[in-house]
Amino acid sequence: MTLLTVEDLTVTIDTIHGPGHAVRNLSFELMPGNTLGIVGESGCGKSMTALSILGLLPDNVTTTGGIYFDHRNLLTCSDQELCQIRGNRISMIFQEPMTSLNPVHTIGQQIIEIMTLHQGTSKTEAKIEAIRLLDMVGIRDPKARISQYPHQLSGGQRQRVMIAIALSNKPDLLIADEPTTAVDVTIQKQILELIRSLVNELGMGLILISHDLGVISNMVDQIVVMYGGTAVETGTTSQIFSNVSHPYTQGLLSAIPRISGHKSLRQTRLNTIPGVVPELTELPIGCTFSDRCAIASNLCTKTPPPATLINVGHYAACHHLERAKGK
Amino acid sequence: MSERENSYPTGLAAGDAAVNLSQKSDSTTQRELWRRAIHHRSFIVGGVLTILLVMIAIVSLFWTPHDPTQINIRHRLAGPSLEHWLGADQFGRDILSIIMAGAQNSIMVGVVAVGIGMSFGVTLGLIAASNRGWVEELIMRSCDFMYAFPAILLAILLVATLGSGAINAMVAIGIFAIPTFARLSRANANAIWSREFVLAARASGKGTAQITVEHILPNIMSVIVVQATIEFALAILAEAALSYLGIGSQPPTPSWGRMLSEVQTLVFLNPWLAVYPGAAIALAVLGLNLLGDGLRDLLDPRLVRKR
Repeated sequence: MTLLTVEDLTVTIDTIHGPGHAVRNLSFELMPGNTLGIVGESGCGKSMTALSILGLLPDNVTTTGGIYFDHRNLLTCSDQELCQIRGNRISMIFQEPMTSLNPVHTIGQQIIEIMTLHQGTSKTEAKIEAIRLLDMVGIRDPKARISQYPHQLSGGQRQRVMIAIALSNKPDLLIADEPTTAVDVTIQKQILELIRSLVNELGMGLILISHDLGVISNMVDQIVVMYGGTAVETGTTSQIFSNVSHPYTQGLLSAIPRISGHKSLRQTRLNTIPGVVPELTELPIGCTFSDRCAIASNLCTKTPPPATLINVGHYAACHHLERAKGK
Repeated sequence: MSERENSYPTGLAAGDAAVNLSQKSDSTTQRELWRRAIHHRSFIVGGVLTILLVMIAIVSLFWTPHDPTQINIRHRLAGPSLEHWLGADQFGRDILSIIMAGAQNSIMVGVVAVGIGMSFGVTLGLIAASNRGWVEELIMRSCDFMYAFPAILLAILLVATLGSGAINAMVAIGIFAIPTFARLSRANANAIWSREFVLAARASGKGTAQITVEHILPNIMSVIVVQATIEFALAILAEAALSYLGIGSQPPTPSWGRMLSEVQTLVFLNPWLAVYPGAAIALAVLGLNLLGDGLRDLLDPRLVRKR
């Protein structure tokens, strides 16, 4: 029994330049307690996927396909039904800890109100639980912190508070949308460690969204590599790293700077993927990566490649997998 | 106050330090606000004038030098004396007493009109901001429609239809404060709706109404308070205008606007009769406007950050 099934999800944004395809025919499955990473460049549809799971997309966006959670298609659920799922069964952590907390309420109030909202816990019980949660996410002296306002906390501490809020109702699924982009590198590691240990401890499912393949590789069991709104490669972490199949994934991996070996950094040039992500309204008809791909052919620009099975559970959407392998 | 305190050797020491620091920063921000307040000239002047206005109104409830409605023909048009500090009007009534009692009327008008305008206006503005689409269009276009006519003209129309009187004047002034509050709160609420913590609140399962009350309203309150003081001044001015035209508060209720209209034929005979109520209106309006300006400077978070 899967925890979450995303089936043929398509998200279209209605813009003044015509329809923009933020996500096209995306499918993946997540088992309870498993972890999944979605990786890709800015604007590849990662956040759109996350927001569509919670039904938080803006009004000018249409979604088709299916997102199945707990025998229900979340895309067809009413707003009231979704309100009972959000924050209760599925929680989300956002990118910007500095702006994700309401500046006029204390952090205690913000944790307590989520618990009283979904579980009907009394205020006093919720307060004790809030202190426990803050302690669990590694905030020192939670009893004093609970009556403080967000501006009195640092960015890392605020992200910890966000995690405490997300976990307050013991959700089945946690979605973390680039949780460490806005905090500095040392805090980044602490936050990721915290998320990983809490996910293990509480047995939640996790969808981690990141542009950093290095972060993803340490954190999750399964990976979906997205480009231009489509999944270009999916598989378990070990499958993808042992057999990097899609040219885009190869490009991403070679673009990770490495500090190693005899050559100093100055002598080795960092590899980049040429070009920029195309506008969502002007995506190529065929493979979305065709205009930046080194091995793209005529076929690639005209026909979208099907997901080709490489190994059990490992798929890549490319017409020239053989050629990509030889590269 | 940072992640670094996680490396403190003992939890207790780190905790204590954090508490001390935070209490200090809490009281310093308050002290800082207070320090800026007492150095803010228009806030102080406006505050003093407004407090004076309120005090005069309160005192006049219990005591005035004379009964403000007491006619005494012997003293008519008397100049300032020990008995009548500001002199007496054409009916021999004590001017100081009328001015003091008139303050009650002005404050009453301000409270009722701003109360009506703020409660309806803010509610409509918040509804418009949370219901995008035709609801918002309907509310905001209605506000535009009301804005298209001069407020005082419509107030006259309304009072003329409903009948003149203090209550109707207050209601009319209040109704025409609604669009101002509606526009202001919608514009500010829209800005808050697009903030990330609102998305986070939605992601944690809160409905539109709950988010509006818990997250939007507290964040736009300071702007509304500032607008309320300015609208208060406008209401006093509008009531004076309506009373001057004879459709506001009716005799014998003391009113600054009606004092002006009653003495307009005597202006060349005894100009002071017009100066007193005129000065009272001007000072009240000036005080409230200065207070509003000062509050805006003090409460605007952007200005706080700049310093």
